[in-house]
Amino acid sequence: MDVAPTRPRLSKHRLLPGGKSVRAWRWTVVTGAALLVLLVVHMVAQHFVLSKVGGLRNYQQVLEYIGNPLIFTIECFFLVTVTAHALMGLRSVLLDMGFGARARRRLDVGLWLLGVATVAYGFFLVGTLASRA
Amino acid sequence: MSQTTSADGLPGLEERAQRGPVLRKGIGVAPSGWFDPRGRAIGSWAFAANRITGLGLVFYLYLHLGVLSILLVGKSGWNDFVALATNIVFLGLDVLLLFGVLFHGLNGVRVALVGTGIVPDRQKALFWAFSVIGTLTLAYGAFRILGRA
Repeated sequence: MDVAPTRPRLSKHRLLPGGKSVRAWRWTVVTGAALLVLLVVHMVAQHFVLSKVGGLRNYQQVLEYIGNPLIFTIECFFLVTVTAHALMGLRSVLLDMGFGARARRRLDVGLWLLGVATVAYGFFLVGTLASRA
Repeated sequence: MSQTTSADGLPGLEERAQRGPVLRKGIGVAPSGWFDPRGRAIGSWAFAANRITGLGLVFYLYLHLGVLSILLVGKSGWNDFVALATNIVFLGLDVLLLFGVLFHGLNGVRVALVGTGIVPDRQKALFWAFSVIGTLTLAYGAFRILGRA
């Protein structure tokens, strides 16, 4: 019987061709796994428990929702995780264009800035709404 | 779309027909790019669809943050938006979003299970199993979203 050849184990920090790394892939998997839970909680708690048309909350209902400390905490974790996962995925797609080392560093800096700005704006948004509740 | 055959000169088609784990059959990225899965195995099709839904979801993430900014304006702005967003066109787009989330999420679970070595060499069986789960969930979700429109 044939035995399938196994892949050599890759070290954690080894760079794959094109600037990708095992570490970035692992973080994508870990954040993806977390999103399975966070997204289901977000969708069900936010939209599916309502009996309203389309499952959308009116203004007062949104404030009550985000004013709940547990929901607020979960939504903050969700924001950080989804932003990280989204931008790592975008990086993976962009790296397939075959940039040089310098362009890759610029891309990383740009994506970090975008990610920090996204999370900061999201915190400002939910924080403002929670303070109105 | 017509079936691409080995006459088109794509490499690796004979290897792909052989029995055995997919690692033996690596044929690389098509010269026309990752988004062109023509004439390739189902895994390449899933890879392209995973990236397209992923890019769509990144777009939606920023659209979502933009739309939620209406909440900062106050009560009347948001309630006007809700009235608009509960019409049939927007609810149809919600079903499209649900499809993207389900495909990307379930395919991600499949890739993670295979890629981390937890369930190696069963990617096709996982693909079809998750397709069934995804289709049923999409049907239920579409019923919930559109059922009251």
